[in-house]
Amino acid sequence: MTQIFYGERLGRNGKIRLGCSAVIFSEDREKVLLTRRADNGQWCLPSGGAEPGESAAEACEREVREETGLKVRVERLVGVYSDPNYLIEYEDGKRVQVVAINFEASILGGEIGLSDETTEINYFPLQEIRRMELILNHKQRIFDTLTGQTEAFIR
Amino acid sequence: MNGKPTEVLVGERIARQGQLRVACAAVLFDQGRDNILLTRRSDNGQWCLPGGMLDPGESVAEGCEREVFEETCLQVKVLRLTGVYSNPDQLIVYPDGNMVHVFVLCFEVRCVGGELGLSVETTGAQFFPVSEALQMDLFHGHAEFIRDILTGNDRVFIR
Repeated sequence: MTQIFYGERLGRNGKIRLGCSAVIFSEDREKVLLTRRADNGQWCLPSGGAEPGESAAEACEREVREETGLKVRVERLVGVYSDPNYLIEYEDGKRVQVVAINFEASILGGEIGLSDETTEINYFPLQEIRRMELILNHKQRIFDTLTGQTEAFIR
Repeated sequence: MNGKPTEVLVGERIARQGQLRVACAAVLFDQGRDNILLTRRSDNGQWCLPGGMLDPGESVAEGCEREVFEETCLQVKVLRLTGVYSNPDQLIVYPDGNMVHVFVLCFEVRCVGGELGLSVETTGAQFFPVSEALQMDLFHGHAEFIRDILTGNDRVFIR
């Protein structure tokens, strides 16, 4: 199981990994698309690590496609999240500090379907998300997106 | 300069051959915004924006501020993110053979202290008129970072 450890400057014990996440609103902008991770059962934004040879936007769009079946386009960069005070340890023992770029994305096509990495996908109303426990800082990423602020959040 | 210089190779999706690394670059203007701070790299002699690779255990803003201090002796604070540059058609090859696809987060910063000086990584650090900086053969992509800021657009560039 993927584990997350919290502690001052714990990120020091890992390697930096660049991740991307996508906030995708329903048409009425009242709901946000969340996926449930197969590796630890937690709800989160569609997200994942970037691979060498792809741009940040491409990485985000690919991860959304893989996890949800939806074809999306990145619309804007909401923020960069690089809190060094936690460490993620994956099942294979790899330890990472994540630097995540959070985008707002819009749907171009495709149909929602599950993948190996996700066990559930659903739109959740914002007031329900407020009460949910999402992985890491994903709730903060959603509410940062809702502010509509043009300047990127640097967290 | 010792041994082989750092090189930038260009080609379709060439960055696939490298490891992904996260770096920060800093844009520091003087008060009138007429001049911009550049440093000269000791690994290939090119002028560039101050910056460097993020270390585990620091945030991106801390990484940016640390790199500027190490390279120029100036204490700076991050003001805003101006762009993310992740061109997959460029591969950086370091003198030790390491190949890297670099994701650069470019920040505008302001100076809060210190006096301009040099470090082991830099053989020059000085302000240049912005127009002159753009005519120089800057390190890969850095001219684009500066041009994007000069558009005056406050959105974050995604490249």
